[in-house]
Amino acid sequence: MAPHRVPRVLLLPVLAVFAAACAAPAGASPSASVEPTASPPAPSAVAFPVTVTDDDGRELTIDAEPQRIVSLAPSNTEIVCALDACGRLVGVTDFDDHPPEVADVDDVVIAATVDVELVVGAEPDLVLAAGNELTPAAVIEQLEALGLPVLVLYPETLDEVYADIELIGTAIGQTPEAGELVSGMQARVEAVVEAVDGADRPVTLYEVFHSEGTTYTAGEGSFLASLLDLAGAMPLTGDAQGVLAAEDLVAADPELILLGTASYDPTLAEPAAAVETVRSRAGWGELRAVREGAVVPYLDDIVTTRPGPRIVEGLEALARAIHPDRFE
Amino acid sequence: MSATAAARPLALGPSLGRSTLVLGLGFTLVVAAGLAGVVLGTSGIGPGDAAAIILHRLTGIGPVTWPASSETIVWELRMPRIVAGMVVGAGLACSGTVFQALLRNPMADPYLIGTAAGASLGAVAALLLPIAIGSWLGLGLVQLLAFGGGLLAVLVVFSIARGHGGTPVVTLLLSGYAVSSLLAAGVALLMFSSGDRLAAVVSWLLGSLSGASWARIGFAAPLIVVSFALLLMRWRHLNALLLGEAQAAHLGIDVEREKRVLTGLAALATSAGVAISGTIGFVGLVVPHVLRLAFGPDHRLLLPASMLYGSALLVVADLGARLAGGIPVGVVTALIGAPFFLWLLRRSALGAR
Amino acid sequence: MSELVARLEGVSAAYPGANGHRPVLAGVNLAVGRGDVLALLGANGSGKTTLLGILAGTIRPTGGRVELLGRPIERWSRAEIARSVTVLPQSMELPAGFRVAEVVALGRIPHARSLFAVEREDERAVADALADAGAADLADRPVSELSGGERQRVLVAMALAQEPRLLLLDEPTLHLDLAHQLALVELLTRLRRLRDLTVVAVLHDLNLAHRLADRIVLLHLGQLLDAGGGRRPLDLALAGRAFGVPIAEAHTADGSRVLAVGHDGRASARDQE
Repeated sequence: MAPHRVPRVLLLPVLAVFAAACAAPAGASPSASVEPTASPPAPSAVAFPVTVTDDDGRELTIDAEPQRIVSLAPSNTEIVCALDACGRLVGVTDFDDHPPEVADVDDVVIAATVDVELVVGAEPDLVLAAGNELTPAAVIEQLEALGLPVLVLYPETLDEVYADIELIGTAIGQTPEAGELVSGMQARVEAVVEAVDGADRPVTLYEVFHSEGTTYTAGEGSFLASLLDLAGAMPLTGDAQGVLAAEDLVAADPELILLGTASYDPTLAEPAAAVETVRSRAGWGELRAVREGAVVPYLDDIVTTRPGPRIVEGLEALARAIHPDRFE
Repeated sequence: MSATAAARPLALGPSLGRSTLVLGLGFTLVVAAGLAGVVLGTSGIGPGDAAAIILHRLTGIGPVTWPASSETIVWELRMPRIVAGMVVGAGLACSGTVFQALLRNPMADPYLIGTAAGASLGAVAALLLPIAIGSWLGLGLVQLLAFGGGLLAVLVVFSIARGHGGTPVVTLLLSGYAVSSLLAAGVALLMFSSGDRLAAVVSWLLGSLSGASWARIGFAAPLIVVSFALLLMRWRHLNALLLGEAQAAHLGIDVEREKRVLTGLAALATSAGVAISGTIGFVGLVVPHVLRLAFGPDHRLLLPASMLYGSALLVVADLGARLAGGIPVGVVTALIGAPFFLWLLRRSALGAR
Repeated sequence: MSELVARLEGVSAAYPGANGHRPVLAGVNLAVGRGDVLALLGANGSGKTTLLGILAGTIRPTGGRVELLGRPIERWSRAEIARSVTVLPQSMELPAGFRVAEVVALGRIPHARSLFAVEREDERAVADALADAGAADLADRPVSELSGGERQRVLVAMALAQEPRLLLLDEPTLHLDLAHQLALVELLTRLRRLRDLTVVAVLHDLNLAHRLADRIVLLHLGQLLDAGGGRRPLDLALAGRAFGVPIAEAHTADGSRVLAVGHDGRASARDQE
């Protein structure tokens, strides 16, 4: 079934509105809207066949513009939609929640398990998988053995996110949209960096997850650590896997604690209750941040789970939480 | 000389009629399970289409009225899973039967003397090694190291248990326990340091047929079929061992040699199965045990019956696993096997005089 | 002159122990004629079971010659031996789930010819064995439902199904009560009329041995001593030496002969090493 092909010239203002809607959070923020350019649209027909190299080093030649895309990770879904190819998605995961349109697309990944039968049944001409075993290597092998074109994406830095957006853009024939999306994101990141420039960097703990006395936070050299750094903080990091033992936490005595949502159910617990939970943990009551009330609950886990177009939203939220005075 | 035989002919084993019934039923179950497995799945493909696809792939007959994706699903995804389930189920049940006779213990399973632990260590090591060897005979590094690991572990267990007078069964069991524990500690250590690969490791250990492919079946099936054939030819030896080693020797059985041969063949079948599907539990324990209670311990019937009913069981379990959201089939066999086993034990405890 | 079913010449056997080898048999000579019923007795540890194992081919002697049916035993394969020699175990748990006929049929294993089929020959042998052992009526009974005496008969039937020339018994009466002990002795006595059977039985009861056997041989200090028996008078002095206790003989009022441990005063069987 061929999607309805909208003339290119109409897409740009649509994209501009879309990007602006995604980019502008409620409340004051450095706004960065995408300016519609006047350059003529490039007909996508000439872009194919195209050869791309994915994050696993795999080279894939795509003969024609993919019309039936299966995404095996929420971040990939968001990128495809941000590139205005949402209508071409024929399979997504049951964790996908953004944008709302994807609710109508069939799930091929259920409870983090890829149902290969459903993937094959969707007859995709491109499969976007996630790296680092988020899509199991065995499944990727199986899909390739069945003749499906697979791209594996695993961005670990902001630059890699940009690269993956452009990679997907090239792969699905939305190169100009990708370029604009990336520029927009870069501009927003730039704005954040400028806004927090010169401010003191508080030692900040981002609590991804806490259980049985062990805290999971940004790993050393991780994506999250780099985002915290961009947002003007001095990230308190754990080991390579992000594990931070209680003694190390107490010794580091962070000035600011940011709580992700993984350990708490925001729909049930009031933010104040979360802060109370934190205070009551063994040893945590003595921390600077706790005594001074510098515990900020419920930062959206976008920064850890969605390395896609909305990562800049997460960065902005971090920056506002760390330097609220810079964002009035 | 002695008095002539009684007028009524004696039954010296399961009668032909009974055997036909038992094996016929088993075969029917296998076919039924296979059919159900082909037709049922998360993508709705009608039974007519499924049958037509299989017919077409096997014989080339018929106009193609179905989408290519349906054919891929039926022939490349479901069929290999079903056939692999049959092959592995047969191998595990057959091997369990042999170990229960050899170790004279109806609670024995194919993994007691080290196959599972050895294969697990091999597979987990392969999963964590940053080496990609591509595939050799359609098998990846995981399959090869699992197969080799299983066999090697059995060899070590057997060598340790071997004494001057032979290999006593009790020593063999203890050696199996000790070696398995050691290897399991190795697996645990690897799991601890597996980082992102932990999910893949756990998935393998629980056992799954989702990676089944015609190439892997081509590796395991001949090994399992040949082992079964050679074991079936030794049905008398297995029966004799039921009398104990001393008496078996007086019946002319070379008991020590028999232990080596039977262990080797059963370990081969087990390792071949584990290599392609991970360590699936309960099939090798429950199937022979139940069949023995139902049909008697004569191996001439018990071995082929174990093979058939083991096949059917695993195919059905895998169907359940697929329909329940792709959970590992080892979970389903445990969920089926354990309660059934408990019920049997309870029944026999209550019925015991 | 009856042919010899088994012959031992200068046979020695030793077991590896903590301090080198422990000798068990030292230069034993024995000739077992066709149709003989031999009782083998001796104190505990005297090597009776070892001797039986040598006759059965399951224990290899460290010295001497062993001949079975005129051929050196080394030239016999295990399967061949099993077709001519069998051992009746003391007692054995029969594998559950079998019926009596099926268990007795296990005795046919050494004679198996085809891969899967059961021959008419086997059916006949099993039927004959059951009949001779007095267990024909038990054929369809599940083995778990047998009484002690019935199980004894089934074991004998299983041994007979093997159609041995030489039947070896290792203390078959150890777990039996008096009545069953007697029943076994009578069965064995009857069998030597029904079949071409030579019997060597390890026994611990001198009276039983005297009832059963034509010959009684004693193992003492690794040597085999002929103590008479059957038609020949029993050498009580020898027996006393072998057992290390004085053996006395008494006659009861009804004419039965009883052998028992004697008192010091009467005995002349005091061994001086």
